[in-house]
Amino acid sequence: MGNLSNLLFITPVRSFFGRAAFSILVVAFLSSYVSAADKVYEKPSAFMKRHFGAIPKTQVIALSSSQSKQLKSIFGHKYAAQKIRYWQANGKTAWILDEVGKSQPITTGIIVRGGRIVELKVLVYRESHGWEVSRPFFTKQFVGASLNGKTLNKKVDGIVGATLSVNALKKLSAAALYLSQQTGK
Amino acid sequence: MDGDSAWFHKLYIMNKTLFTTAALSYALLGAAFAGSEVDALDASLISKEKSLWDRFSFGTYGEIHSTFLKDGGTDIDPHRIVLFADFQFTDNLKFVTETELEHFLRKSAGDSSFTSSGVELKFEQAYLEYTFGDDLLAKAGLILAPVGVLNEVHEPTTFYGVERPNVEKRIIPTTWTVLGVGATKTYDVWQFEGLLHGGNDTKGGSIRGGRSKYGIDLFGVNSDGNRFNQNNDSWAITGRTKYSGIEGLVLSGSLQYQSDMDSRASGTQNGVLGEAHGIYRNGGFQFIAMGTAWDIDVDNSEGDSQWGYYAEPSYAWDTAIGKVGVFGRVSQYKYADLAAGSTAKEYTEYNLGGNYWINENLVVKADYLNVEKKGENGSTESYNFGFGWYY
Repeated sequence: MGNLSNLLFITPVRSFFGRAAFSILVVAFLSSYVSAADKVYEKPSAFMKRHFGAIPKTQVIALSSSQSKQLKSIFGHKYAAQKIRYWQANGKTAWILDEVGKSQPITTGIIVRGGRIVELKVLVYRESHGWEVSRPFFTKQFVGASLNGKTLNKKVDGIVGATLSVNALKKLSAAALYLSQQTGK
Repeated sequence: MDGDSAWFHKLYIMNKTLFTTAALSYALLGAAFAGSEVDALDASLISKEKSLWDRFSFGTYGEIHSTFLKDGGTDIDPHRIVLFADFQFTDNLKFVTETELEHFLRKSAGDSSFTSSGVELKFEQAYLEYTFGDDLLAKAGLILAPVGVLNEVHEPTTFYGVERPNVEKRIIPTTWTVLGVGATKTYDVWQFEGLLHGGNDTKGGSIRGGRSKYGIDLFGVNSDGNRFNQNNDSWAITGRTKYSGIEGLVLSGSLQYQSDMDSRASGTQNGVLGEAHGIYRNGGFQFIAMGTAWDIDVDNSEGDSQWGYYAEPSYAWDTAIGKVGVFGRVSQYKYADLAAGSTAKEYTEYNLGGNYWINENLVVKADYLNVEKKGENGSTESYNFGFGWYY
């Protein structure tokens, strides 16, 4: 099943109709995995269009072992992907990263410019508790934060009953800032 | 136009139409396919494939306490060790469990040695949860009653003080697991929850003692405290509303109706529980205010009116070696048995202490507790220390 994500990287079919058929099949098949229990606040494409106008070309950072190690110290565990996609335009970089809150991954979009967070947005939330972290009054605290070692340079207030989700977002924002440093942007 | 140019004209018009149609279709299809490429990108970023192992999730928490009474006596107790185990059957159906081992080895004040006679193995949660989408959730099974500040969220790293507030312990009574079925609906800043469940049958005793017990008799050492003891005779219904529309503030109110709280007494003794609390946070500052009261239809017992409230300000800040917090709490509560002739005990408590979070999973706690009993002179003082973990 791991092959599926590799396939989606670049549609493998060159022909016009083949691509169409492939894309439609892929969307239909994969949309069954985004279930009713998942709350999609904003699609990654919509998030990127909001910041960039059109979706920029996909770029990839293949993590070196020292970069892997640093990410591991930020998250407290090894980050699942060894190659991480990102999108850049107008001096801004968009990262779409996942981290588990209590038992489900939270998909988050983070925009970094000049070493600071421009926006953190919870794109997909999959748990039944802790959804308060998706609200703007909470996520706006991340704006302007930069990296201090392996954490943020500013304090983020927690939310009663959503500690694990709050911690997940803090780690994701630190990871996005670190990765932006590593891609030199 | 003559015949030939008319024909050419027709062909030109037709082709132009054809050409325009073809160009337009191509553009639309192109847009659609570009659209579905975007959909493929979205799907690749947010779909989550699940292996069988991914469907399991585990967690744990535990607390070890020691209490030093000012008038002598020491109590050392690994109070609880808990395992969370969840299984995701389908994207919408999940099984949630929490199993707890309490007091597995304890040296109480007054005893000279450790003993396992107070050990309890119980199921604190074991329910199926179905998500309908549109922020509607249904639950069935052993569920933590939606009342109070701590009943549902009580991992050691999430509250101040070594032991849970006595107001919640005696009056709610926390931790309270009920066998029931219910639903939760969330509307942006409002959340409503309803639960139909087994009742609290005190059998003339205390509310805390009236909780049904979902435990397993371990080693045969504790006959009464450790069995599956489901009160079948009475039912209850609970509703809760939560509001989080004001920045930094969570407000919650619960109302419960019990059909019969004393099966030993003739007739039915129904009861109503009301509870409300607010939690305010701003930066490191937090303030919790909670009040709760029972109105029970019993004769000749001071158990007909039981209540409690507390106010807890606290402040926490980050240091280079972890997070530190200090808190104070003022509590007052009154409780009694339901049997005829019972008199109530009323207490006023002052609590002062701190938490030191080594990291987000580990906490060390210390607090001083001063308890005054109404009608008695003087007070009982104790120093409590605790260590807790939550993963």
